[in-house]
Amino acid sequence: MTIMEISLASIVALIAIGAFLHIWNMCHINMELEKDRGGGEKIEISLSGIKKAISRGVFIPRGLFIPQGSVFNGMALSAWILAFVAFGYLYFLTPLVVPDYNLFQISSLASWSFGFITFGLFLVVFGVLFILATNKLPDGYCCIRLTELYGYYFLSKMHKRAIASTIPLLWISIFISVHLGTIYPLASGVLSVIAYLLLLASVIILISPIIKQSMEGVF
Amino acid sequence: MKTLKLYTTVFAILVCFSLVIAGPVYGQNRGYSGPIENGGSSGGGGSKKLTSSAFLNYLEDWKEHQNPNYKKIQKLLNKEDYTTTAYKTPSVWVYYDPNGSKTVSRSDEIEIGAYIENTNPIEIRRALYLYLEEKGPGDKDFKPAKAERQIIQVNEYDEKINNTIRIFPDISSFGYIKGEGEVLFRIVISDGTKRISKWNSSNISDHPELGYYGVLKLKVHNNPPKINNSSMSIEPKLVKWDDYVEYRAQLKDEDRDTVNVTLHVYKNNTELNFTKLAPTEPDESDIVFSTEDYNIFVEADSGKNFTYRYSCDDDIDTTWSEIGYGPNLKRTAEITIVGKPKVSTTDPKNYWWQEYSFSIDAKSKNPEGGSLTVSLYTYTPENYGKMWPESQTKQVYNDNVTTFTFEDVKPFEALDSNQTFYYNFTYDMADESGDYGTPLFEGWKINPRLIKYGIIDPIMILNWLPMLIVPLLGGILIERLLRKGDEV
Amino acid sequence: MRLCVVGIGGCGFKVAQEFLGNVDLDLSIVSRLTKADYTTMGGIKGIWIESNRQEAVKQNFFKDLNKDPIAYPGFFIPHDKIQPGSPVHKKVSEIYGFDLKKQGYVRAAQYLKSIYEIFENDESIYGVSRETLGSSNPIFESSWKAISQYTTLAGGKCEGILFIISLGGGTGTGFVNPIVKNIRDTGTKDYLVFALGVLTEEQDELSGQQQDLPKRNLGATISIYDLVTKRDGVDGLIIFDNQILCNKFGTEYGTYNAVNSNLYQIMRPLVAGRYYPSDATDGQAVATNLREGTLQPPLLVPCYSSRKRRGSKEADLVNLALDQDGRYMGCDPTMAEKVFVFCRGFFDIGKIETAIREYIPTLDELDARGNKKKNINVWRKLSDDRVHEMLILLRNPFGSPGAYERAGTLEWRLHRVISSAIDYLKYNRGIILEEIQDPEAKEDETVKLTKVTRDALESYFYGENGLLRELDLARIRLEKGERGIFRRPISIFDGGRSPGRESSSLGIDDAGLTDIQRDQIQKMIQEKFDAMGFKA
Repeated sequence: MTIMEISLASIVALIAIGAFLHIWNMCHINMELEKDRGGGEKIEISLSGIKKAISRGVFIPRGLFIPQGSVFNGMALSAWILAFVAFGYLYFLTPLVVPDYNLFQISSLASWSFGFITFGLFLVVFGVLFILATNKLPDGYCCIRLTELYGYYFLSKMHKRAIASTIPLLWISIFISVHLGTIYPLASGVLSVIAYLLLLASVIILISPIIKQSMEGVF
Repeated sequence: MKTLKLYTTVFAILVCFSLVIAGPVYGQNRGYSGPIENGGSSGGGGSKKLTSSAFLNYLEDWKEHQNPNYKKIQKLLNKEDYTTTAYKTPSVWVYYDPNGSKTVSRSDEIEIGAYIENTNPIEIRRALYLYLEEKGPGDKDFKPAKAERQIIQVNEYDEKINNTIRIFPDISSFGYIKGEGEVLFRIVISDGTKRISKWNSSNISDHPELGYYGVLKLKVHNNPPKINNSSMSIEPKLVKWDDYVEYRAQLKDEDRDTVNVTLHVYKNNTELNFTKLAPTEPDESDIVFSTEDYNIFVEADSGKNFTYRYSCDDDIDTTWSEIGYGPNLKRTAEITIVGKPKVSTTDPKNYWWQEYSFSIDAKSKNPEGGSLTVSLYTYTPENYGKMWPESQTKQVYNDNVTTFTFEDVKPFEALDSNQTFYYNFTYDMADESGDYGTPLFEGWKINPRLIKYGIIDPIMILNWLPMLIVPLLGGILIERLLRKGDEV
Repeated sequence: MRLCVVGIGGCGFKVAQEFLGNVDLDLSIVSRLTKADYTTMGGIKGIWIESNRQEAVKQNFFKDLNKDPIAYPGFFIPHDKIQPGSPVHKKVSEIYGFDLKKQGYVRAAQYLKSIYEIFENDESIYGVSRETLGSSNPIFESSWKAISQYTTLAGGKCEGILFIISLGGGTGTGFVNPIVKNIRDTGTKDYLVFALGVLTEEQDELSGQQQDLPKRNLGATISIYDLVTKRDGVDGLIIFDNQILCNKFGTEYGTYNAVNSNLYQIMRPLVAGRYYPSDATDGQAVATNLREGTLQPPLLVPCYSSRKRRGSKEADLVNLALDQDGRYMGCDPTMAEKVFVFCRGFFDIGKIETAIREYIPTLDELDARGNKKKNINVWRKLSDDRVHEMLILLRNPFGSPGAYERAGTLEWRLHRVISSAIDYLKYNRGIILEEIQDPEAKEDETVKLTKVTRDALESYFYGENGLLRELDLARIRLEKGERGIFRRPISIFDGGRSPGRESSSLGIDDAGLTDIQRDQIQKMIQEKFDAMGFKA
C-alpha cells in the first residue's frame, strides 16, 4: 500500500471509529438510564448482546437533546460537508490513489473546463442529501441524525470555535487538492501530505467531542 | 469274478505282447512265419508259442469282455464293403454370423460363407463345388456374385459331426453395389453329379440362431458424401475481380466412393457450376476450387458480393452444403491517393486540447473525375475509431491533385492524454487497392497533462472557489430549514 | 422545567448575564443567514430590569427593549413608561415628593416599595395613570409585561421565574413582590417563582458597594422581610451569603466576576436541562413541593458540591455539599424541614436519599397519619461524563434556640443582619426621614419628600406596628429558636398596619402559629376528612 492509500484508510477508519464511539456513548447513557429503571445489565459479547447494545446505542430519549445554537450547528454541518468534499478531492480527483474510481475516469468531466466543480457539486449534493436522509429517521433514532449529532454532547464555546475553525483548514486542503489535480500527472508528495494532514486534523476535531466523552466514560 | 477278469486281462496283454515281439502278423509276410510254433527260435528259452486256437479264444474273450478293443482290432483286420446306394446329399446353407446385423452400409465389413453338413462316409464322399449367387437391389434374378467358387474336399469335414464352414473371401463389403436396398445370397452346389442350376441352398430351411440360411437377406444402405460446413472457407474474402480466390472445403464419404463435387457460385439470379471428381480418403479429404482452375469472375463482377455452396453426388445420393458467403469483390479503382496523409499541430507540446490539422491528397483515375467525400477518423485506446463529424466533399480530377485538409480538429479528450494516436481517412470511391480507406497511420504520443488550466487561472478559480462557499452555504441552509441548533 | 431568569438591578445584571450567555457562536453573518435564535443552556430565557438608564446603557450585553422590542436579551427600564412632565409624574412628585424620572434615585429598599404602594393604593394616582397611560400601575405592570412574554402564562416556554436580586442593594426587592402579585392575580397560584437573593457581604473593603454596611443590612432585612411575609409571593427565597462567595472565589480588582460565574455554576443543576426521563418535571410540581407544609415563602439555603465522575459516589457528593465548605449560606443542615436536590450526572435516587437521611435524621419524621413524609425531593439530570455536581436546597434550616450565638448558623447570620438593621434604624432616624434624600445629587435632581411621605415612612419604620418593632420581635424569635421569624407584612402608606387583604380570613394570624399548633390543626382537619370519607 502506498502512503496515500494508507492515509485514505486512516480517514475512513477514523470516521468509523467516531461512529462506533458515538453509538457506544449513547449505549453507555442508555445503560445508566436503564440501571435507574432496574435494568442496565452489561453488554454480552455475543451476536444478540451486540445487537442489543446497538439498539441501546441508537435509541436515545429525545429529552436528552441539547440545542447547541443554530450558528454552531450550521457551521458544523458545513464543516462535515466540506470534509466530505475535501476527502473526495484528495483521493478521487486524480488516478494517483484510486486508479479505477476517480474523476479522470469520466472522460466528459475530465475534458470539461468545469469538471472539477461538477464533481465537487456532486459531492456536496450527495453530502446534503445524506444528511437530510438521516434527518428523516424517527425520533427513537434521533442520536444518529447527523443534524443533531452534537446535541448529545456538552461542548464549551472554545470547543465549538475549534470545530468551526476546521472550515478554513478544509478550505486549504481543498485548494491544495485542486492544485494537485491541475498539475497531474505530476505530483507533489509534500502538498499531498499537507492536504491529508489538514483533512485529518479537521476530522479529528470534528469527532473530538465523541472521543472526549468516550474517554471520560472510560477513565 | 473280478479277480478272474483281472487275471484274464493280464494274461491277454502278455500274450499280445509276445505276439508283437515274436510272431508274424496274420495275413502278412513280414519276415516271420505265423503264430509261434513250438521249436521255433524265439531268442530266448522258455517262451510260449501262441497258437491259432489260443488266439481265437482270446478273440472270443475280447469280443465278449472288451468289445471296444475288439472292434478296433476287427477294423484293423477287416474292412466292410460299402455300397453306393446309401449316399446322402450334403446339406449346404449360406452362413452369416448369427450376431451380425442384417442392416449394413455399403462400407461395413461383412463375411458370407457356406455351411455344409455331409454325413456320407469319407469313402463315398464327393468334393463339393460351391458357387455364391446374389440378387441385388434392382436385380430380377439371382446372378453369380463376385466371388470365386469354393471347393470342399472330402476330408474337410469334422470327423465327429461331419460339417464344415467355408467363407467366401471375395465378399468383404457391399462397396461394389451402387445402390441400396435388399441383397439376397444363395449358394449353388455341385458335386459333379447334379446339374448346377438345380441344386442350390434356396430350398433348405433357415437356422438363424446358428447363422444358417437357405437364402440370406441383408439390407444395405448408402452413406452419402458430406461437405463439412464449418470447413468451408474462401480466401481472400475481399478481392479484386481478377485476384486469386480459393474455395476450400472438406469432404467425407464413409463408403469411400468417388464423389462428384460441384461448386455452385451465385451472383444475382445466375448460378455458375464447377464440378470435379474427388476420391475420398479414410478421413476427410480436401476439396479446392480456385480461380486459377476456373474462370469464376469477370470484370463486370467488380463491386458485387457473392455466395456459394457445394453439392456432392456418389451416384446414389446427392447432398448439399450450407450457403457460404463471399467473396466480396472490390470495385475498380476510381481514385489514387497521392503520397502519405499528414498531421500537424501548432504547439509542439501536443496537449490533448490542442487543435490539429490533417490532410490527404487524391486524384481521380477517371478522365471525367468525380465528387469525392473524405472522412477523418482518429484512434486512441479510449476513443477508437472516432469520426470527425465534418467530412469534406470535393471534386477530384484526373491528374489534378486535390488536397483534403481538416483544420482546427480537436479530436481528443482528457483520457487520450499520454496515448499514441493513429488516424486514417475513408472515402466513397475505391482506391487503387480497391479499398475505401487508407490504412492506419501513426501520429505521436499525446502529452500526459490532463488539465488545461493552472490553479490561479480564472476558469480554475471558478472551479474551486465556489467549492469553498457552496458547502458552507449547504450546511447553513440545512440548519436554516431544520433549526436543529435551536431549542427543541 | 425551563426558567425565565429576571435580573433586577446591578447584581441581577451581572448574574443574569452568566445565565443568559449565548452558547452559540458569535458570527453575525451566519446568525442572520440561519436566522439563529439566542440559545442558552437549559433553554433559559431572561431579561434585565433596571431602573437606572444611565447604568443600563453602559453595557452591551442586554439590548434596549424600549428601542427594539424584539431584541434579545434585553433590558427594560420600567420608569420609561412615565414621561417626564406627564400628569402621573407631576402628581406623584407633588403629593409624595418622589421623582419617578430621576436618574440615580435614592438607593433605598423602601423607595420602590413606596412607589408600588402609591400606585396600588392612591386612587388619584392610579386613576390618572389609567387615564393617561392605560395602566393603573405602569411601572410594575410594564415590567410584568416585559417578563411574561417568556413565560407559559403569555405564550412563552418558561415554566417558572428566577428573580436574581441583591438583598440590600436597593432595586431588586422592590420589584419582585409587585411582579409576583401580577402573576398571582392571573389566578396561577402554583406558577413557580424563585428569588435568588445575594445577601450583602459584611466586609466593606471587599465590595464595590455604594452604601455602607448598616444601611445595606437594613435594605437586606427589608428585602427578606417583604419576601417571606408575602403569602402569595415567591415560592422560595434562595439566599446566598456574598461574604462566603467572596471568601471562596475572591473579588479581583473590586469586581465580582469570579463570584458571578461561580454562582451560575452553583445554580446550574437547577436551571440545566436533560432530565432523567423518569425525573422530568414542570414548574408547577416544583412549586407545589417547595411550598408544601408552609404558608410563608421559605428560605432556601443552597449547598453545592462537584466532583469528577470516577470514584465519586452519591454519599460523597451529599456530604461534601452539606458540609461547611459546601454551604453558601451559613446554616445547620440538620434543622432543614425539607431538602430539594438538583443533580447532574449518573445518580441513584435511593442512594442520595439514604445519604441525606444519614446526614439529616429528622427528615425521617412521620406525618399526622403516621406515614413517612416526603421530605426529600430529587431531580436528576444528565451531564457530561467528566464532572458530577449536586445542588441541595435546604428549606428553612433554622429554628434552634441559642443557635444565633454559634457562628456559621443561619440564625447567627440573620441575627447579625437584623441587629445591624435595628441599630441603623435607631441611630439614623434623621437620615432616614430626611427631606432631601440624596444630598450629594445635583440640586435639580434631589428628591424632596413631602410630609405625607415622611409621615408614612416614620410610621412604617418607627410606628407602633412599624418595622423596628417587628425586627425586635423577629430577633427575639430567632434567639428562641422559633421558625417564622418575620410574620406580618408591613406597608408604608398604610400606617404600618398589615394590609387588610393580607389577613387570614379566620382572623388568625398564621404567622403567629407555632409549629406544634399548626400540626395539631392539620391533624384535626385530616381526621375530619377521614370521618367524611375523603382520601388524601
